[in-house]
Amino acid sequence: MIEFRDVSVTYPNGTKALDGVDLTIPDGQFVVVVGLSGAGKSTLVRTINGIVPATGGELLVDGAPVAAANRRQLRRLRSQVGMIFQSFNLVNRTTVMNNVLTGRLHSAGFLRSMFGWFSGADKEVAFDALERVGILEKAYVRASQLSGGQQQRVAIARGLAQQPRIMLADEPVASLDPPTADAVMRDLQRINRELGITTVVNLHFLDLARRYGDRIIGMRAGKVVFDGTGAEADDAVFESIYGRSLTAEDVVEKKAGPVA
Amino acid sequence: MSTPATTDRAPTDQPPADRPVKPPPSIGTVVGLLVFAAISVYAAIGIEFTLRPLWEDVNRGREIVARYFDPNWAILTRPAVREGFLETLYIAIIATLVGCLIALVCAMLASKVSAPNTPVYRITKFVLSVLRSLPDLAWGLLFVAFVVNPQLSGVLALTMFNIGIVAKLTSESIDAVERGPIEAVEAAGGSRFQRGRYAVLPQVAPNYLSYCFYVFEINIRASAVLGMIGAGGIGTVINILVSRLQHEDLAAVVYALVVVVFILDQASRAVRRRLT
Repeated sequence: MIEFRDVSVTYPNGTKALDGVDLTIPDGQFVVVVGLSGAGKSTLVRTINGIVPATGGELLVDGAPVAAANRRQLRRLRSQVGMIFQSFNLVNRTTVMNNVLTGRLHSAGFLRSMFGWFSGADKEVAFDALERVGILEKAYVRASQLSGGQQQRVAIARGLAQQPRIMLADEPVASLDPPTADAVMRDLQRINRELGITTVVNLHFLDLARRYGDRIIGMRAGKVVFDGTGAEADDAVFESIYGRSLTAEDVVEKKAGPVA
Repeated sequence: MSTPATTDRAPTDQPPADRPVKPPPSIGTVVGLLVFAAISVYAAIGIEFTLRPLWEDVNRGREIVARYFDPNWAILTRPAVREGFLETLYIAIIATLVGCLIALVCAMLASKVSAPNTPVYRITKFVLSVLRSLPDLAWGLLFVAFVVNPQLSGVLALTMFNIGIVAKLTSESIDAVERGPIEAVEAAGGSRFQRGRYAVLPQVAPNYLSYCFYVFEINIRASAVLGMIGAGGIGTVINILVSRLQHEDLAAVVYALVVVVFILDQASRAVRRRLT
């Protein structure tokens, strides 16, 4: 369970990215966070694993306060939280397998990680993660040789290899074409359903948000302005979240419809 | 010249008067050039620079020069010479290996991207610039004075020299790595060491290896020279031949050295080209 209690984040340059956020995300939920760029979506997911420290309020992940964690505790927290990024953040020069094994680093000691001696169990976890996203046969291919959709699947496998309780995804499909975006979202949803991993995804495409979110959280200027189900989030709700009328840019599938 | 495709004016037309005039060179450029010229002249006067010896003394060494064109190849089969060459090679290899390994650690500490904190980064940068301020010969003189074993002093001198070069070049490569993978390892609960090992090192590895081969090339040449100040290797042999005025023997050794250095240089370069 993730609990935000009046959480604020003010960056050193004075920007207030989160402003008094109160949220409770129960275990196993698939939450989609929507909002314009700069609304605080990225900051919101990054506070959950402490990459961005909350500067005010209290944030509890599985009952443990993130802000009070020392370095070791923070690393233990992060090992339980997988993260997926817009630009995949893979090491392109090395193999898919090595990238996925990054997810096992939290359990590898100094010598093992220095020489890259991962245990058979760790390798099996990595293979299993690759199998779940359907690219097991690419294990020993260089990451740079894969397509964008495949690279994002490697990144998902890297997160899965952590065997996390929570999966965070910061605009995971913004760099992908529409059919690939849909496929990657399906992967995330399947993992959420099969493994019960709590999933928090930032999106700015409202059709994807409606299709996949059990729950949609709308953000604007660092505040939560909407919190409800996909069915409740109609066009009027999105217009109020975005503070403007909707355009074709707000959906991933560009076809004639009520919003296009 | 005019381009008829883009303008309807005839080629003979003068450009319109409202075109901007090229600005005169800045005062800084002019002053800089003048200062540069003045320093050059002053320095030339200071060392009484002249090219006259080149043609006045050209015949003086004719007899000796002639002996260099008649090398005594037989000397190359002597065990002492063969061992000298091998020793130079061994010194270069060991110094490259040890120096590059230490340099990798130093490079990680000398980049803001991978250093644990600012004091460590500043101190490492400072130490490295001190290391680089001494040339290989100075390190050689230092270690020849300290260490009894000549080969060891050669290895140590080149090791210090290599750390300075490889750590600087590699730390600059580290400055330019993509930050995304670092964030990913951090988000996966990786330690600072693991960030360096799994996010930074794979990105700089080709560059780093290329720098290692580059200093290996330098080391072959430098370890030959270092021998002359008593740091082992073929330089020791050259030194003895010079002092005995055995010019024919010396010529053979020097020619062989040129060939060996050239071959190793080319081999190393071929490897480096494949790396990046």
